[in-house]
Amino acid sequence: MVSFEKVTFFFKIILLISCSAVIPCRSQNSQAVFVGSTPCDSLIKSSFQIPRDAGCDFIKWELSMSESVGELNTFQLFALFGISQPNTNGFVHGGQKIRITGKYLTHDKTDQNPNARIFELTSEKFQSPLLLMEMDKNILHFVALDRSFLVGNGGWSFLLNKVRP
Amino acid sequence: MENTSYSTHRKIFIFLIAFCILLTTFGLSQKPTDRKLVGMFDGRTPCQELARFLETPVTSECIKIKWRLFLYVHPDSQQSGTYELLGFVYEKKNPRLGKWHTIKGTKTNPDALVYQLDYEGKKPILLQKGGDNILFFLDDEKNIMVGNRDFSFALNRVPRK
Repeated sequence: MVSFEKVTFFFKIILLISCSAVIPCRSQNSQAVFVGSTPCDSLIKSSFQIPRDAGCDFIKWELSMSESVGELNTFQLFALFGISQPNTNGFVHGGQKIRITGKYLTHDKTDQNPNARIFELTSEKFQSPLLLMEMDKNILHFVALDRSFLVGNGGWSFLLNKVRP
Repeated sequence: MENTSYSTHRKIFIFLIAFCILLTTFGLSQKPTDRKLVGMFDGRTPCQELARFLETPVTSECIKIKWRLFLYVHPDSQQSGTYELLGFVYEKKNPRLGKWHTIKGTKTNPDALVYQLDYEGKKPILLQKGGDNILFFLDDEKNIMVGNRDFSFALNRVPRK
């Protein structure tokens, strides 16, 4: 007859092995996810190759950035853009979807903030790279090629917020 | 008798008009020397977090706040001035009026410039300056407040119409 203690011990061992296998795996492939709504600036339109006359009041972003160490930094971007549906946070007819994957480089230090890093996002689908200044670990702000902040309006800012895990 | 009364009324009327003109002229000429507009900043932020920060109860339906901030600077100082804040419970008829001064440093950037918007009997609002055109709301620990998919904790300089 197998005792209850032995069965419990066996399951504990299985659980330990599973955890040790899974946890490092997760930390190696961890991703930081940033979300936000920004105006549809001409710089962004140009990067995404959105036609100038396309109806675009704002863009909703979901940017996933890999945080793996010692590997190529990659990102996945899912965005929606279009004409704002009045009295909602959405778009007329649901908006148009964009899915882009690419790589990013990290540049340390800027004139405006010596502690800030700049992420340079590049992709075959971008006409020009997208630059994001890391204000802190939770906030990214879009900057122009000269590293100046893109200025939003009364409705939207050029800022992405980290999704809390 | 009637002519004398008419003349007196006329004199009073002319005096009143002259007084009004003088008052308006001095009033208009005094204003710009009292304060200079640094900028007008607009933005939409999430509601619940700022309501908690400002210790003002709101219903769960409150999802966003539309803000408009006028920053004025004293002519002899760039580090202090007055402000007028509209939005949330600070309506047009009853704006939040107060004084501001600058302080240095946030939790992650010791060099950052922060506008501290004081208000009698209430917690000050802290806004980190980002370039000349952006202001970020800071929390109690001087971190930039984290927004959501729809709204962020920032104000943007907008042109005055």
